Amino acid sequence: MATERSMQELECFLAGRADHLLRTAVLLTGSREAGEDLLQSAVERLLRRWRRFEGDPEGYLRRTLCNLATDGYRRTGRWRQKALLLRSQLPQPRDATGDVDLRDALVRLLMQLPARQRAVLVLRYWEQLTDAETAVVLGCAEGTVKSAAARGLMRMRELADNWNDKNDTAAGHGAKGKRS
Amino acid sequence: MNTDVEELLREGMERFTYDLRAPAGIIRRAARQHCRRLMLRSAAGLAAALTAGAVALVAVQSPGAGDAGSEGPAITTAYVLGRVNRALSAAAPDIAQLQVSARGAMFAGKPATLSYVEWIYGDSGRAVTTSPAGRLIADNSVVAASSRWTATVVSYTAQTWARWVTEIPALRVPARTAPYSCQASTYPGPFAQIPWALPASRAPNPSAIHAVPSGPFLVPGTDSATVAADLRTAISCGTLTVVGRQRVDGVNAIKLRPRHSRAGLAALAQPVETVWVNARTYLPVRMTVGQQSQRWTADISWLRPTAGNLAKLTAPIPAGFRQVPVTQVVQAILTEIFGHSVRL
Repeated sequence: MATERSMQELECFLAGRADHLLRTAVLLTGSREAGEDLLQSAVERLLRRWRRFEGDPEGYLRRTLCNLATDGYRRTGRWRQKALLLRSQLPQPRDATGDVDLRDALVRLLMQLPARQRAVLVLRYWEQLTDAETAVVLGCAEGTVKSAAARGLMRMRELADNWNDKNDTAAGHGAKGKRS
Repeated sequence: MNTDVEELLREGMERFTYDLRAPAGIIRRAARQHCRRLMLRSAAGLAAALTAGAVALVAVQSPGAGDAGSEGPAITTAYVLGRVNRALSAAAPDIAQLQVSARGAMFAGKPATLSYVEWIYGDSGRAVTTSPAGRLIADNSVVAASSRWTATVVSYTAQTWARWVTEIPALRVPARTAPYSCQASTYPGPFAQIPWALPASRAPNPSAIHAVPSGPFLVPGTDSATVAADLRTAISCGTLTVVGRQRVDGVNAIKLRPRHSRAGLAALAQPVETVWVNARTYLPVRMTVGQQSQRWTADISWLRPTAGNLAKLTAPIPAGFRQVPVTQVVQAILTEIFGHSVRL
């Protein structure tokens, strides 16, 4: 018979892992407050079954975050998607290197991907899970994960290629002199 | 480059989230939310059993009914912002009245607190400006009708006024070329529309009349049409979060502030600093922009477009004031604001 878990145990666990889980939630939703709400909802679900919970709470929370982010959760925040699209059109301040800008641009593009595709990329490249582990978290076939990741990365590569082309062109113009 | 994309994406995610910290008390909040859900469920169950009282009971307990500040729904940021969004959508046909205090604005060559009242209603609007000493300086309005603006400018110092009619595109504020966005913008101030009513050769440098610190564009003659639409965009920028409650002019208000990581979300400029929304109606009642030394504060009221309220959009001409060419009126106003002679 499983022993009952105490609330202190949950607090200890969250003290160590809540920051990381919040970051995952923010990457899945695109904004801090939506990420906090998502994490809170996932913790609430864990809380319901905590006393008799068996297994890895982090895995459970990660799976819940992904499920909520890809299923009904987004339906409650359609207006947020518009905000994300708006953000993606914003000219961003340039950093010292083109790569830094590109990193930000890739994250903004990530926010525009379909929820499932985004979850795959977050799990693969943020959580650093394997295709098989990602498939278990999302409850789908490994092939589905591979194809979703490939499609997402293809868009990322297109962005990176365009980015480099633009930078090359800008560098060409820059050599002729700056306009005020 | 292709081989690096995965690594760049991972680094981008790190940058976007690296200083995010989970809020304290997340278990307590989750537990509270859980209890509320249980209450909702039991209320719904009871309602199903009691046919006569069912509707009333669910109405009391369900999210979206009543004062969110006191009972019922879990007050998450997403919930509050959703309600604000809906309230603003419903308020779009209303006249926004803003009592603005612009601390750190330049007046007569020195930083001072300038105050003015604005009424904004679609393409129409009016601003009444007072000096730091509380003396009336100017009253200017633009009223849109049939693709034309009737513009009125009154100088209280010179006791002069001018009125003219222009096609709306000619008077549009050039600084506002796009609807309000999440990108930082410069608020043109209450006199922004005046120079563009003048012949191009006589128009002063737009930057010379920016009287207040950066802030949201809440000026008439803009593409997004209403203050409500601008505020909706502002709250949709994705960084505002509920930080508590305060009383604002006797109203129980929910305070929203941006909370973002330096590395990630700071890249998205945040023009709106703090917004207070009425905890019952969810309409914004106050907003502030800027730092301590340069702060723009607006107390916002929402007026129904009755005949009496619509009349507030037109600057009245005080008895005894002289009608003069528009350049003279504008010259008098700008001279007072700059503290030195301005020739147009």
